[in-house]
Amino acid sequence: MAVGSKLLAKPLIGTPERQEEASADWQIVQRVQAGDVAAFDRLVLKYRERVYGVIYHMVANREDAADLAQDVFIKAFQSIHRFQGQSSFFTWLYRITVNSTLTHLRKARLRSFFSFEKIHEEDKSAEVLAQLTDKTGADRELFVKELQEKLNEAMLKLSIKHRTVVTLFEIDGLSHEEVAEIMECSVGTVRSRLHYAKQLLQAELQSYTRP
Amino acid sequence: MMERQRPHSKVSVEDLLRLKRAEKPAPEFWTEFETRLRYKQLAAIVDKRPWWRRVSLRNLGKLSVPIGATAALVLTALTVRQSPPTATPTVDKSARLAAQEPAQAPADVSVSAPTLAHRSETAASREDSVQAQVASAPAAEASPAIVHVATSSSTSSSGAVATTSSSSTPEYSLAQVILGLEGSTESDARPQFEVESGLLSSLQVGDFRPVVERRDAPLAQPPAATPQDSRRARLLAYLTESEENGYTETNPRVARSRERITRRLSEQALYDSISRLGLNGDSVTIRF
Repeated sequence: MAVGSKLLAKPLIGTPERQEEASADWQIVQRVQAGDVAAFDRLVLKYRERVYGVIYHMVANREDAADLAQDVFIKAFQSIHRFQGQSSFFTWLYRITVNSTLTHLRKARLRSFFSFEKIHEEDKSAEVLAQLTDKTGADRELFVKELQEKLNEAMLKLSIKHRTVVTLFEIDGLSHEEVAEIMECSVGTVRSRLHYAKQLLQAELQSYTRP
Repeated sequence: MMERQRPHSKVSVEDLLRLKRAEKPAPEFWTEFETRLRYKQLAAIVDKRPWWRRVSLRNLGKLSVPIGATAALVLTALTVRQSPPTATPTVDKSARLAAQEPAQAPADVSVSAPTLAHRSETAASREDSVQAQVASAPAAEASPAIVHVATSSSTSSSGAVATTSSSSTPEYSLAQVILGLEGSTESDARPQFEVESGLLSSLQVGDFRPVVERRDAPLAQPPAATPQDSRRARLLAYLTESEENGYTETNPRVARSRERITRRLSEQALYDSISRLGLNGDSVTIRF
């Protein structure tokens, strides 16, 4: 079967790299729609970390995040025949992710158990940590753990919608337009929510940040 | 302890949030993730989703017009099937002529389409052909004739032939009686007669056995006999039997019996109409 003969139904927003990525995804999606189930594994492999990351930053529980991420891929697999390229596969998958997470958070509003992933000190994170403390060894580990808990607590004090915007924009690095498309709201709403959320976070984390 | 170090920090909220990007699971986590995902995927393939999950509102919206049209068609068909036929029974001119000339050659009289207005009998009983052994005039003046008694509704017509050995005048009166009994609740029901001469040659004198034949084959499927039908047939048979035995209107016993039969048939039709229409106070219910 000729794969990739159909173009995406709607011009995509974002950088040329993002558009290229979307075209490649669309080709894989068409293969899955044609019956090549194994092709879906490539999409899982490509997006599992990002999907898991979005969920994890919103629920702050690694076990719940893992379960939800698996459910998201199952839902995507079951519904992929309905995907017609109106948006990029990435946006579509993120929409499923966010909606599933919001549903989970609304159900589990009253119970909250936290379990965090370990912070991997890479280039950027190591640089930030170096500005925060000059400790080494066990003291540094203790400091990082305390900071992580404070960060997550501050995030969880945000409303679900504000937390979603912060997660998608600040942590996952999406653009305002992409966040707006995923959350099905206007760019202005995204900007407004982001501004408000940052104010709250600033207040919560003022002991760590510059005035 | 921490507070002493923080005045030197130059990080912003954005920098702190970027730290969260570094919260990543270990590589072995993905192995387990993959295994569990595979398991769930297989379960999802094996487990068939219920039909109401597959039917989305969007699909229902697309199908609303055809579904509505089908529902309207079905309703219309049911209504037409249940509604009373328009009563326009007419008497053919030839039948009248035959009625006026009893001594002439026997006529083949066909009574067709007594469609009865304001009648709420079921279509099944309406389409049911009238089967009656009709006997009328004295044997001396009797000439063989065939009376085709055919009933029809507004949508379909069906017929039956009742063979009789009477002359045309009694035939006409008997047909009137039969059709009058059939449409006893209606005031505007008039029988329609047609003369058919083709069946004349096949008639045997004294052949009183009713002959049933279906006219419009595709639409005239004989419905299953209901208790009402059998009761009506029994009463009609009794009525015709009394005529066959030479009883006349002057006999008070016969007249009383006939009146009782007519009343019972009328009551039966009335019960049918009431039970189906369901007139209760200010509400009307129609049962199909």
